[in-house]
Amino acid sequence: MDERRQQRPTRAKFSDDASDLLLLKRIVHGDRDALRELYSTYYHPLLRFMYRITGQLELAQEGINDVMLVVWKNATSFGGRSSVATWIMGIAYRKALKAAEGSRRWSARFASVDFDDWIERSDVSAEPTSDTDLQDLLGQALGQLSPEHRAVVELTYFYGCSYEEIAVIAGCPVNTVKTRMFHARAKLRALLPILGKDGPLS
Amino acid sequence: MDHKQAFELLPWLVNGSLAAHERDAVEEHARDCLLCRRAIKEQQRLRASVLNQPTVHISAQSGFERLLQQIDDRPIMASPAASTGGWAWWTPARIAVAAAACTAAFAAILWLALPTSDGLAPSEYRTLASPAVGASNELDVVFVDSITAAQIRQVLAEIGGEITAGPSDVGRYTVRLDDRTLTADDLSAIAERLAADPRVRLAAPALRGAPSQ
Repeated sequence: MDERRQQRPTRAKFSDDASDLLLLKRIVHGDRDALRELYSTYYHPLLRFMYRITGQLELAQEGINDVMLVVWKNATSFGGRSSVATWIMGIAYRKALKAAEGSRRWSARFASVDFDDWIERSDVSAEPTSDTDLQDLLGQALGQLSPEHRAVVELTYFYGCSYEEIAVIAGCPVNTVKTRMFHARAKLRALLPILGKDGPLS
Repeated sequence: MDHKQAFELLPWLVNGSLAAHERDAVEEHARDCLLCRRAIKEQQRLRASVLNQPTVHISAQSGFERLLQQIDDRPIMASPAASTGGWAWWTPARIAVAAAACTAAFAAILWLALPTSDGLAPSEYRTLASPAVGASNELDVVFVDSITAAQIRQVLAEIGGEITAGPSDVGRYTVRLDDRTLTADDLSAIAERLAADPRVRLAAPALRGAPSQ
């Protein structure tokens, strides 16, 4: 791990607010080319985010269009109280949670697993032998968090959001964001003891 | 700043998003707190791992075309709530997911059948063994349950393909091959080779037409 890089983290920025705003203004006037551009910019960030929350690629793909349809119809209602990215991610958050909930309700495959029981049965805490193994183990461990907790981890570490931004996206107080992250960290620590060990990951 | 406050803020110290005054206060606390210093390292590892998590790459083009279709087909609702709540949530694809879940008792027999979101009437159910009717460069693939994301990427790299849809309720992915000049025989040969791969449970030329791109 490059410690110097870790000392100076960079945000995983995928868009520029000024150009997003210009696109949004054009979308208000029904400009489909602007919608296409915004769609391209946000497609993969939204796909990843919604996939992380729903756990299903198909739901994530559908969800993107639900989100962009809201953007298309409600561009005029964007008040500028947050960045365009935060606004769009907020819509995605709500859509993804709804989709995840619908999916859980209908599919036994996503029946919740008792967390403590899962730790006992799981081999997630097994020592990873490579970075790829660690990625797989982390993927499994993240899958054991609630969608809300997973979203906070993802928004913090992949998208580089501040806790204030996450609070806007999740529509909750900042203290709730901190609490969710606190619990997510505790669960991940229990599932992945390797995270707490000294030395390089691989 | 006390320990609890500082400890809670460590993820945002690590991602660099704390305001300067908070960052200084957390760093000052961490200088004398072994627990926080350890937690910072832990969070740095977590952040690096999350950043390195594989990302699915799917072409946005077909999705955008579906969006335009939605925009043209559906009247624009006056109220945002009307479009996002209630029955509006039940898009045809979601109804299909629900229907598929309700028929789970029959999954053992029909697990290879297409989900109803494919728009096929019951009499038109197809399996991976049925004659292909899809695009000439697309395969339907079901991987083994134990496959990892890295192994999926490896399989895709080996055949020069990318996932364009899936997984369906039965774990079926649609994979588009880069080579657009493939004949039906070429595609069948690739599918056959893939089906013999231990990382793949089933593979066959795509059962349905490619999303228009």
